[in-house]
Amino acid sequence: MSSHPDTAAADKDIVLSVRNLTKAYGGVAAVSSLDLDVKSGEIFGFLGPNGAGKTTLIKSVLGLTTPDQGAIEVFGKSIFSHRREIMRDVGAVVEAPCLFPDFTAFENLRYITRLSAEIPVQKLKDTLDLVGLANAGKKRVGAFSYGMKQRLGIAQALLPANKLIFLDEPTNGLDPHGIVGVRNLIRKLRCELGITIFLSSHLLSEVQQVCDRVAIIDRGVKICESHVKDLLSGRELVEIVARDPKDFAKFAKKEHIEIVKEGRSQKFENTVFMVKGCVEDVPGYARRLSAANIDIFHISIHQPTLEEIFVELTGKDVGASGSDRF
Amino acid sequence: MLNLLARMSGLLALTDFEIRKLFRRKLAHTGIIVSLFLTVLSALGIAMRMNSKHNEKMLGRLVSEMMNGFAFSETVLLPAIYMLLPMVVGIFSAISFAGELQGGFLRTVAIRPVSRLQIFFSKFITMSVYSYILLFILLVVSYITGSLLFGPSGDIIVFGPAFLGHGAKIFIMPAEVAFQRLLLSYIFAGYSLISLSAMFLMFSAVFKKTAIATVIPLGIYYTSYILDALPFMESLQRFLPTRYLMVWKYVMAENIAWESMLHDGAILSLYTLAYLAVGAIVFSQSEL
Repeated sequence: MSSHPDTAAADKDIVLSVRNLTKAYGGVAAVSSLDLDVKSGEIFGFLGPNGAGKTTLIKSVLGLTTPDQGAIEVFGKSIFSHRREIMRDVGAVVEAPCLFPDFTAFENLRYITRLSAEIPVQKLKDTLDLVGLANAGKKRVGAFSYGMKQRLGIAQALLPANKLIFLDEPTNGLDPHGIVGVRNLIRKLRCELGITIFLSSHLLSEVQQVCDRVAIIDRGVKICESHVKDLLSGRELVEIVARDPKDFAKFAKKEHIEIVKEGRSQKFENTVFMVKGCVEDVPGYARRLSAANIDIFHISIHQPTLEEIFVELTGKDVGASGSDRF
Repeated sequence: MLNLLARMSGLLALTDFEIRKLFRRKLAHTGIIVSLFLTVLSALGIAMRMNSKHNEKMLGRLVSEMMNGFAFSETVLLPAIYMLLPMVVGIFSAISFAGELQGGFLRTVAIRPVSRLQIFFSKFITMSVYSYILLFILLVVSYITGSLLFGPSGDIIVFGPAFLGHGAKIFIMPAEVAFQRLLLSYIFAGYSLISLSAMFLMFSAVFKKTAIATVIPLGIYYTSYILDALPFMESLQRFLPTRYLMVWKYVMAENIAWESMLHDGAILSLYTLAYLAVGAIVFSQSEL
């Protein structure tokens, strides 16, 4: 596993560069020939169904598992030859926040982070404050709720002054207040501290709300990498509800309007058609429908959610082992 | 040189963390409690024997005349080092390593700028320190208990067969050398526990499950002892891991058998190094 001199890691903006990463377990590829770049200061969303290979990639990047093939560079240095140096500036919460239940929150922070560097007591306290645990510093972690452990896990990932942090499903098991809290914290970390965040999740609303760019992975293969805005805007549709669905279908065929999908509108108790088009096409469609004497109840632009795009891209492969598809 | 210093300082920080973790767990205190329990029960047993009607018999008389703080500490060491402490140190080694592997705690540590070797050896150092702490507590408590009940010092009656096997004789060890021999036996007993701890850590690295990493080495340990005691097993006995474990027993001979001690000690060191090497290599390749 040699480093690639031609990789994009040469670009100063890129803090994480993964090239041709492959890792298999018992002959089954968890990650296959994966390429990825994460830029400095961005919140990068790494999306995929359960069992898609998200955690395997994170573990490979952190040196917790050895990939079968590929090159990984963090801050322009190969993780295989400069791991110790790299890990001085990298923090992570992988799978679940595993902290020592017999220690207090403060002690956990103090002793875990001391493995990277000596940190002043005030900074430890400030970090507890940042994650909303200022009043829980003296409490044993064994008595913490899952949400509190998650926040403490993020706190330890931030110290001593990490520039890149990996958060693997950070809102798993949190209640709605906890989810909002972690989301706000992630935004704050980027905006106020300039930390680059690699966020792995299968919760699309979370990624849509906080991430700048996303990559979607399915069965170990990257199927998409894009800015969230581009991903959403490139997939707009025009939503039309006509009085008579049959008349509309004939009209669409005659006018070469592509019907992407049909559904049932609860509001209008009628068929809703999704046709190709963007916001600029809406007035034109309205005029043509009116000219053809087709009555419509509703016409508007339909902005697909990341969830719809995700399902569309990852498909519905019934019975795929390791995933939750059915 | 700087790199080496950085590695040593990383190992020290990890070991400090491990020792704090070990003693913060209530589990670590149970090792101390069972050692105290053994001491109290042994003292009670000997006191009852001295005051029973069997006192007239030779053994009873010997016990009442020759028992003192030194002799009592030595008597307590025998069951502790064969049965109790290997179990305690072994189980705690498996919990501290396989348990943390299983629970994901080692991942939290491994994400820091430390190497797998540092993590593995910090566990080993911690369990070695714990072994000596247990032995130190056993020595102090048993000596104080023995002194209060039977007097502080004096000659020791050494039941040769119990320490050195069949053919060894019962003899009186003079008070002048008793304390020195007592200390030496505890120091070398610690070495046996360290080797056992390395074996449990190796199995923890291989199996990564606390239950398996406890049961298999304990099974190997006790099976080896059983086979070591059985007749017609001479050809096998020299390969058993327990064969060379009890190097401490040689200091209880009338004249210390330095040659045998060195021989057994060297083989025990090789076993320990092999356990550590296998454990460290397997752990270095493991997914966390």
